[in-house]
Amino acid sequence: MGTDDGIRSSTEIVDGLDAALRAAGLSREAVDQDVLLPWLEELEAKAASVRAVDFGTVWQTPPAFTQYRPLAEPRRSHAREA
Amino acid sequence: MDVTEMGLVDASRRIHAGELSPLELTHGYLDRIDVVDPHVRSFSTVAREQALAQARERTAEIAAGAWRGPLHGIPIAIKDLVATDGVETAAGSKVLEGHVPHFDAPVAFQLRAAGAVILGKAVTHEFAIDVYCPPARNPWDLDRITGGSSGGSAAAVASRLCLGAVGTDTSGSIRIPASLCGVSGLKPTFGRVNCDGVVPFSWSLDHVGPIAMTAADLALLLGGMVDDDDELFGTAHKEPPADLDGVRIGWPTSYFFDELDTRVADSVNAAVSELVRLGATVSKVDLPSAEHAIAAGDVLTFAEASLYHRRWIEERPAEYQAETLANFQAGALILAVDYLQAQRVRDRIAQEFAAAFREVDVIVAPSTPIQAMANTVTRSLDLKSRSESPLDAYGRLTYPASLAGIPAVSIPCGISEGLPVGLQLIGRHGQERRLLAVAATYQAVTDWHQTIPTAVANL
Repeated sequence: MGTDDGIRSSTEIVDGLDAALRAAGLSREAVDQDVLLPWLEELEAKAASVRAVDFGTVWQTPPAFTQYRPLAEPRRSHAREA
Repeated sequence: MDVTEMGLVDASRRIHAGELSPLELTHGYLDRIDVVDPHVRSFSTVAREQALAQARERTAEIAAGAWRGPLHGIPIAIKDLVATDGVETAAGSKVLEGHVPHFDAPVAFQLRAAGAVILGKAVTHEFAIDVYCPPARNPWDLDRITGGSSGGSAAAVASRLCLGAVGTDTSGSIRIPASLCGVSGLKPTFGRVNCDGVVPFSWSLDHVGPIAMTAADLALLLGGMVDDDDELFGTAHKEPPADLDGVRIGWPTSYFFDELDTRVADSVNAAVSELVRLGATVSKVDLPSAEHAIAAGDVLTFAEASLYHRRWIEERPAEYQAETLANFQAGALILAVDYLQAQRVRDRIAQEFAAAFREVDVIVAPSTPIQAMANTVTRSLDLKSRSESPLDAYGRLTYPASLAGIPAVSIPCGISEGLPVGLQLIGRHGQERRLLAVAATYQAVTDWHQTIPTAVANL
């Protein structure tokens, strides 16, 4: 999915929609294309803009999950104030 | 005397002193709901008999000398996403219509155990997706939106239909309706309030928190939601600090003050001046990655929501509203690499906040860039220099703190052309008490939070 600039046109989305839905485990019958496409285009544009954020060279290692600070916090209320 | 005219802290004190019974207070609120809620539509279920039964028990306990704490006998509403024992929890959707849990979510259980009386369930947008057709109406102008998705909770508090409410906040769903309805709303630190038993929207971003009239009320309610911080109760009963001497306010140099409605900008600027008059100092902070918050947040949110709804959107699509369904289906098509990249962007936003908080104590921003819009279906709003979808416009200033998992509160800071404006105060990880103390000091010298909404004032 996705073109060089990461933003797909409606035509491209429609052309690839059936395959994409199959890959996502969704059946064509469950989808109202007229309602879905505007939202899908908008979400695709957001994904593309996130994709374009520069994190430097390949030498930079993505952070481990434990480094995501919010996710590293205990699930229950134990975040006491300092 | 109309018991619904007193605030939470005052009602709590009177109950403790034996001057007011929980049953009398509960009757007062149920009577007001009968009159006002047909206009505001903030409750999906009014659990009248359950509430009266709880109120009778709490009243008997007081008579026997047993006091559970500051929330003893306090009537509250709980968002329809939160499981409540014996009361329908439908998440605003036909998919869960008629679903009556046989257990309380931990947050509801703890509030009930702290003595709160649950009046009923507050309406939410379907599965907390803030798209079209908001069910509740804004008590300042019934033809305008409440914001979402805790719109029922905020409208109920603003309309004096309860003394506090439970909301949830994924991208701003507590702070946005609090701002648009002129009440106070706190998104606590991620994980601080247990989300078990709450229908998830996006589990890596979902927060549960309180909505109430004042910062002191928020402290009391948060104290009832967590089990690790009795000092929250004490904070609410003490006078707030008389000034803000030594408090360092951070003013974001970009993003948070872009594309604001003039009325919002004027009110927020005046509020910051008031904070300075109280003794705070202001310095600039740089949060350059905040501009990616909406894009990264929506990629995460809709991918996670889609996974939660995966079976239902395939097997029962007709039971969803069309726009909700489409969003969840679109989320299923997000690439794994995009999801992970969005997590990486999120981490950068959190790091920038952490760096800023080495220099300041609180960061200020508007809660929303515009006031409550008319309750009409539109996919695009015309702002100063660009068009923006309502979802993006309302969520763009609250999303960054959600992604960073840090606490943020919205408090009323103005009323312009008959509609409220919200000031957002963002704090350090785990420091809700400090954040609420700053808010309480501001509210001690202002009265925006005490104004009764015009559309319900005479009902």
